[in-house]
Amino acid sequence: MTELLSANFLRLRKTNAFWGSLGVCVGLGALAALGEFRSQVGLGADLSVPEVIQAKALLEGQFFEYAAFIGILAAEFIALFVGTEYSDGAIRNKIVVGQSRLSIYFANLISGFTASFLCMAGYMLSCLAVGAPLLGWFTKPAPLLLSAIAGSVVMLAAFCAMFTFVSMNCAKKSTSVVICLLGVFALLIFAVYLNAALEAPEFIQSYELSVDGQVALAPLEPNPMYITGAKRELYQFLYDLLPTGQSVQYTTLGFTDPLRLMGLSAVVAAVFSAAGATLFRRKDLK
Amino acid sequence: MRNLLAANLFRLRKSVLFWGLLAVMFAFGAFFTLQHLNHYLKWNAKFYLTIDLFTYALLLGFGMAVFIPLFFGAEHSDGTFRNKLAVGHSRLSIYLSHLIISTVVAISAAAAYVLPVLAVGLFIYEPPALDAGTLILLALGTLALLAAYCALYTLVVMNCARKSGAAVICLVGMLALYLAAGNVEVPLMHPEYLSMEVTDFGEVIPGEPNPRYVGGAKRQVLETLQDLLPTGQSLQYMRVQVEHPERLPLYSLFDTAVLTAAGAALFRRKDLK
Amino acid sequence: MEYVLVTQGLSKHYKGFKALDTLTMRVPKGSIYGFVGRNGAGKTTLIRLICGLQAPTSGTYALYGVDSAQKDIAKVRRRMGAVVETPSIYLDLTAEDNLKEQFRVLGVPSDEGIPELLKLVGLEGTGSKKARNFSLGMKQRLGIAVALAGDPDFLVLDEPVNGLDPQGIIEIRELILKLNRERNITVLISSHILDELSRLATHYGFIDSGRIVKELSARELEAACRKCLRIQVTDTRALARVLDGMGIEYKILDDGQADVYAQVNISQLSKALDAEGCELLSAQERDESLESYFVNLVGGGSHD
Repeated sequence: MTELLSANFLRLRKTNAFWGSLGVCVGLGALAALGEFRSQVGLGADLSVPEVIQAKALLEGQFFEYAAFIGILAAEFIALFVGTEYSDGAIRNKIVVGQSRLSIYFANLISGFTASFLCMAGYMLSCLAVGAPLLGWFTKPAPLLLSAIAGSVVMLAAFCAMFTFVSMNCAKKSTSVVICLLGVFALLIFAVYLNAALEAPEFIQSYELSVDGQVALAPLEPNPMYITGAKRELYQFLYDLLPTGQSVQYTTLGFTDPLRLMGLSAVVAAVFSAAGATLFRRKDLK
Repeated sequence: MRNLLAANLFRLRKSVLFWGLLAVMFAFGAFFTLQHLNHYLKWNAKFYLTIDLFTYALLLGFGMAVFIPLFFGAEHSDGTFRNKLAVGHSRLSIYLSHLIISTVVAISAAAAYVLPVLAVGLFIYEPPALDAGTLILLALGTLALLAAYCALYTLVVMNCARKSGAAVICLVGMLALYLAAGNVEVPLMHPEYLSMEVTDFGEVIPGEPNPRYVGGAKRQVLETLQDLLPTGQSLQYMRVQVEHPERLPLYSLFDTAVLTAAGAALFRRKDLK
Repeated sequence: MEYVLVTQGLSKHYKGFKALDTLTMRVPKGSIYGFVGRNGAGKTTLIRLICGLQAPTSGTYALYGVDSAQKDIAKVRRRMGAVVETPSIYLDLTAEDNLKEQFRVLGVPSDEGIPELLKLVGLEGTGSKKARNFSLGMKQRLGIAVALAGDPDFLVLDEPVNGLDPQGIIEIRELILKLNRERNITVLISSHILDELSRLATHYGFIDSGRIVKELSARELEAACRKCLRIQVTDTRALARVLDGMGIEYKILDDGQADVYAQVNISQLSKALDAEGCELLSAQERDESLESYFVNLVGGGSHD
């Protein structure tokens, strides 16, 4: 296993897709902070006043943006990095010399996770470096911020487990790329849909215009889009279970139970890794 | 050229990918329609026929970003380009035949989507609030938009010898273009004034000006970008809120022409293996 | 005799198709084993099985006496190197980086051996050129270098000269002979280029429809391939009478030609023919080739 990891990290250092992704993340982090600063200044906000900073929590707003796109980045990177082993046939070199399939699988999982984590860290650091002097320091409580960071790392592990599952069991690199990318898009859209359904208000407030031109509040009407009971529980569970649902929650810092989210992500990562490794062990390679 | 088209059509008929795309688009159309049907039956909700009618313009932005790299990328990776060049087909006709076939595929997929929408919608939806001329203009506009998407992806695929690389560029590029369109749209949505008052005499008195409102030359640039970006157009067609229905097809044709000219010029100079 | 590879009743079935059908073969230590068969006979399938890329449907094989079902098989694999079908190399890395990569996989602590390995396969001057831009022959040689990275005792090469130019074929042949003689590496080569194989192999296995139809050493093959003398005469009927008289085996090919399966004294034969009023026009010694042996063995007919 250590041999395989050392080989993978050597290749990682020579992989343009890795350096490209890292560069994109560092760039995005700086741009996000800079863009927010510019638009705040454009709106006439005085960012030298501590109360303004306190009220707006601007650094948080940009810092956790990485949770929204890190899944897409991991999908692209893992499909390409692992897919190359198949397309170039190099996976054979590992098996022929007696490396076990299990260790090949997990070495690839760990490498993919490490690379995506480095990209994520690249975003955080550059956003912090550019953002802290311009937008002020974090204002939300430290436990919330730390649990969001820790939680998003576990979420990333769940993403990586899913993409490794696909890439290790699909011998065509371009097909893996499409499945991983489309899959993460679809899951993101599904998460946004769940979020919209869960956030729908219970009652609809409408206004009535009376004959004499007075505007009056109409009686509250129940919202037909509001979901209740078992359906609501299911939606909430899916929203917490899906890594993309967690993406939305960490980006907006809108989570309530970080331990539950971490636990669910750990389960997703474990289930996909176990299933993926089992399938890969039985797979006929060419 | 005609031979190339015939050859590609033959391959298309045998392609699981093509039939899969049609099936997925049909499923999307049916899914949206069933949801509306459900609301109609439950709450007697009313919908205009145009609801979700043009959503294929958005879905196929992604659909073709998958189809074109996988279907035509195979020509690079399997080396079948060589067979076409070796028997004397020009690079330009190979390029154009791919673009034409892609557009045909996109239009077929759009038809597969529209089929269930119309089949149910014609009976239960309200007639559209738009006049027939505008409706036809919008429909033609989406077809031109599909051609623009195809031109964009054809440019990438014909000039990138690696199938998986082309797939990544098309899909991630598409996403980036959507984000760009969103970023162009958001500032345009801010109203000019924060509040308005209507006097007893029916006069409208504007309230405080909105600091987020974008006006002047900047607004014009953003509006042009919104119309010029295929993804900006997709969003407009999806909502059936099109400010300049007569302009969009022209912009799409412009996009198609520019992308194809650039792509074909690059492809002519490309060293093939 | 000690065997590097022994297979017993090895079978591999794909959907409704038997790629290997109870195949049994033995590769002696120190040999260059030529694995001969048509396209689709099962050569590559066998190689995939013994490399651990696929699991057999039934039957077993043993590498250096360790059965494939045993756990130690992974350890024994460390003594193997293989090039299956296309060379397995990272196209975006240079030759040197590809070897560094495989050294990591093998857990070789130092990269010292790389220049020597590159020199061995004639890729020492490729510098920062990526494998993507190599010629087919260079890729093939880099594939062999990667297979040699673990200093294997047993080298498996699947169609190593496929698509190479004559110069490339000679280089690969020299390399294989050198590895076999100087490092005592046992080599299993599959090929359908029989003429090339006949210059290398010390042992042969002939495979057809997933079964070994004949296994023999090069010496046995030579003995089995009878020498013959092709004779041109003016009258083959006269020749037949003379040869029958001498008790010699022969085969008439047409009106003027015949093959004679014995060492005959030419002047005696000439004299005897003269007496029958027949002239001896020419006589040429011929070897029955590996090719005709193979065709006789598996039948020349249906070629799917």
